[in-house]
Amino acid sequence: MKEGTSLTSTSRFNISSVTILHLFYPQLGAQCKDQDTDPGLSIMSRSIQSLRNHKPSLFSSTIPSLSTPFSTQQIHSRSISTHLPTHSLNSSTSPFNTPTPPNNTYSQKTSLLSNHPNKSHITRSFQNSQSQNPTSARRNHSTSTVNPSEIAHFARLSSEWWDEKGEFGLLHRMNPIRIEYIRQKIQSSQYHHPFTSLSSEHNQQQQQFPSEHNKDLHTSPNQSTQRTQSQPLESEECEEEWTFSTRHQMKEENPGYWLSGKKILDVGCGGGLLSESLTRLGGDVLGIDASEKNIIMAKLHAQDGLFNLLSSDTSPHDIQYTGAERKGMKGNLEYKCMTAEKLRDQGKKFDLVVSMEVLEHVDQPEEFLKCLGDMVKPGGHLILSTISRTPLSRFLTITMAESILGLVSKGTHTWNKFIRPEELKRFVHSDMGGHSIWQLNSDSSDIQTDQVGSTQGMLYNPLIGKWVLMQGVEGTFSKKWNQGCNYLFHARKRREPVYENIEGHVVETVYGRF
Amino acid sequence: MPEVSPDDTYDIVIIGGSNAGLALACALLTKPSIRATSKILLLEGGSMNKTRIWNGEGPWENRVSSITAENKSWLESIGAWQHIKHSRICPVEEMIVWANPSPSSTPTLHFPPLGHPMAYMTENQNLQTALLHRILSLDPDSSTLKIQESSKVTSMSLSSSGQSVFLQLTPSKSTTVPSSSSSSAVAHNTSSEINPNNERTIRAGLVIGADGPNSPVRKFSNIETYGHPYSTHAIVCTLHHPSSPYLNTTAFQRFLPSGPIAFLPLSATSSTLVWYNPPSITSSLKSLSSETFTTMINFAFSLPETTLNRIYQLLSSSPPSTANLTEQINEILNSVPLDTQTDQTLPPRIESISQESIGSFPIKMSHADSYLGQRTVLVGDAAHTIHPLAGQGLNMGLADVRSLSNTLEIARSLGGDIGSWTNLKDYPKERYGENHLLLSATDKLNWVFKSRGKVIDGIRGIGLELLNEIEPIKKLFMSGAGAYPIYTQTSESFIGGLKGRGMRGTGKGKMEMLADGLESWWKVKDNLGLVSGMMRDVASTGLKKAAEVVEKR
Repeated sequence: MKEGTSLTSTSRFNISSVTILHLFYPQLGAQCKDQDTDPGLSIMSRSIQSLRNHKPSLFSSTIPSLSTPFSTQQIHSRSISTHLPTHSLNSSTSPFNTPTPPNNTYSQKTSLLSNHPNKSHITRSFQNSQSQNPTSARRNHSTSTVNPSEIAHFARLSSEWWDEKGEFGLLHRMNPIRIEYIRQKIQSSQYHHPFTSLSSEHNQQQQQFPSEHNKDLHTSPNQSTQRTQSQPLESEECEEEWTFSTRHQMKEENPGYWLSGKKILDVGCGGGLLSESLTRLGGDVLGIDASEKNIIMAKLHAQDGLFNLLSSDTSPHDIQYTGAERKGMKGNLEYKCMTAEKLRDQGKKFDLVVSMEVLEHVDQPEEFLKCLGDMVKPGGHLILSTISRTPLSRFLTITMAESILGLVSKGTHTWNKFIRPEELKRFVHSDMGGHSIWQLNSDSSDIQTDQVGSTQGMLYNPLIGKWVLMQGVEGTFSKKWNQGCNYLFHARKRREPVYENIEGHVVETVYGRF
Repeated sequence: MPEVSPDDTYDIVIIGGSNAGLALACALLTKPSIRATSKILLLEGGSMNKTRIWNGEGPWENRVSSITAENKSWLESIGAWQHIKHSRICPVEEMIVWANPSPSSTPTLHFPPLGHPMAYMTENQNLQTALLHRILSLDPDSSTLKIQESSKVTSMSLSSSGQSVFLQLTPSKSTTVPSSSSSSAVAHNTSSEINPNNERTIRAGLVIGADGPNSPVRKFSNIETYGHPYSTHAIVCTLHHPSSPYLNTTAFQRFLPSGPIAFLPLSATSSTLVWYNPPSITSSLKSLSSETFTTMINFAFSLPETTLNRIYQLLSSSPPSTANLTEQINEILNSVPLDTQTDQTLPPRIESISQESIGSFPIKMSHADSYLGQRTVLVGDAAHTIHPLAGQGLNMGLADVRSLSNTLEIARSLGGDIGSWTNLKDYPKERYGENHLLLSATDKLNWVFKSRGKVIDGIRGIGLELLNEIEPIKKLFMSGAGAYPIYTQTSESFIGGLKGRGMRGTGKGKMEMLADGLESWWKVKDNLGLVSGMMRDVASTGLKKAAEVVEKR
């Protein structure tokens, strides 16, 4: 990319800030391609404009790890008002107290990175339908990932969503295990696992030995002192470290309301099976579905049930659960009939984006996935469930469930649309930013250099009438087999992007920084 | 649909404030997710003042139950056992069960001491008071659990969306709790006097019927029961006897042709009697003078059956006048030699009985077809009644409570709608089969011991002989009856989520295996036709299904 070379190699800030802007404002990538004017400038100024349009507070609240002395707000206002050329931002005399990287090797690598072809993946992945380029906008709108015939199919069924013994009985039974998976992934991540988020740790190390590093650097002494002061210790939302003594506490936190305070997006909420459960757990849930009927159904159900011990003046859009209210950890539930793309274009971000059993029904899973990825806050989670494309899944979901047993109505699934776990994980690596944006897998056995996230199979055991979350070590036959049909996917976004070196390896790995 | 204020809307309404209801309320309060998120109402038709003020003094109540070691350790884990009045419980270390079909044979089943008590005898009142105190200590300001006494449910209706149940409440005029006849003096200071005609409607996401054998909740849910009455009434009363050099920690039960008679220890000098007889004999026995009844009890444990049968004939014949009857019985008793069986260990000789403690009640075996209705669940006696001879009725109820509270906690910790069928179905899955096996095993045990005849006597003799000799089988039997303090059957292995439950094997418990054996023996005996009929059915439906598939293709 062109602007990469223009950035001075000693400035870590420039790259990260631009990348973060990419993260939040995916249209930037498209603009880079479309316009040949000074890309750095246009990126900065436009993103700032869009930022102002959407949510000025977004930046400061969502990137706690960036709380370096230059407040992000400061940068933006400044760059808008002065129209600073890009290179002036990068100069060592920058007014923004640019932090210096700890040593030469690292700074070299960051500079190498900007030339690396992989980088384009990141930008490419954030192309957006809301681009100012009219052609690209039209293209993207026409390629909304929703399939019209699929929507019609589910609208027919929407009245049956809540019939536990009907068409969606299997889905009702799947609900507990989905939540259980979410619980495992979210609650365990509330503890700072030594292997999963190294960036902040590394910052600490940097701070501990600033003088040693600075001896090797050809930087002015005042800069280094500034850096020492400026480096944040930890992110605002402090994550406790996992130890043997804290291993039990994970489950004891906030019993019954362990999603309290989390902003959650449920894409393809259907009748609201999952959304209601998430709300009961204290989540601030937005359920979206492309089918109007589903949304009506979901609203009715949420309004009507006990779920909705409504205080008198509540509307369907403001459903509150008094059980939670009573304890001051209330959940919130809102349903909207819209597509994920539209929501993304509004610039909404969530702590948790879930989309259960949807991926196999969309037309363009690539666009859909990118869109979901865009809506995950830094440090947030993306959790999906879908079906793998294997002979087993063909037999179970189509032959058995649809044709023979009639558990699911015919035409619910199209085998060719199914996605295999490794395809999904590779896609997130190659097209959604890879390990620069997403954390390494929490289960060290699952680490694959060309894959992001972890998957876990779930199978229905008809003997006990339950879905079972399957265990297994990545690469073994049993794991391959047990995620051969339905599986869950989890990936967590980094609080702050990190970079890959020229070989495409992650700069930060379990073993430390290379 | 009536308007219901949020204050009158509850996540869970428990109907019935006796053993099962209180235990469930207490168990739910110990569950973190339920505790944090749910609003619970405990409804009791009578007054609970007696339970509130009971202090473990005064005469023994006649409603006594055994709590198995398994349930005792569970009660400890929810903190209720610590509130039990320990002066009013009695450990059972040893158990002797025998019959005496002929003068020469006394097939005996002997459960020797295990090193720890296999069960504890306690008055129901003691348990209820302990549970209530535990509830009050867990939730002193009633923020989670509200107790509403002296309120009756007059009608129940399901909301149109099927997501909640409306309950019409009215203050009950009479405080008719079965065991609270003596407490009417203190019963009338509750809300019933303040608002005499205050009908109100409450809304519940889940209604739990812990409302006894004639459960209104069960009727509302249109759940049928099946079973049969035993045409037997049980007499209960408190016995007094001198303290013996041996500890009074052995339970005795003798099977007479008319039904078993049981001696259950309460303290060094008191015990309780449960004597099962046909209704006519029961009423005759109750009409006897206190002294004659005492003698009758002593002889019922010691006399050979032939002599007893004569008395029984006398008792069951057209009801003679009381004085006459006593004389006639004494006549028979005087005619028999007093040095009866010397090889049999017998309970201590009873000196007197408490006349006021004599009571009787009919015995019935019944089992609900299902434990789940639309947003309703049945626990305890509302779901099943059992012949008390094995002392398992209360224990089954407590096991139900254990299972249901775990099920609800798991559902809630995963954000589930706790009234929904999907989230509740684990409870019947865990309990229905087990309860059914206990019900039918007890039913058959009763039959096996009651029956008289050359062949059955022989088989029973051999069977008991074997059971006594083969330790492992006995051990299995005991663990099935909950005699061991570690409770493993329910999903306590649950660690913060589904895993424990999901991964839990479907393997059968030991008691289930044993009962299965008994069951299959029974089936082979007289249900061969049924089995083959079922096989035919299965085969034909299978073929039909297959044919349909072929047609579809």
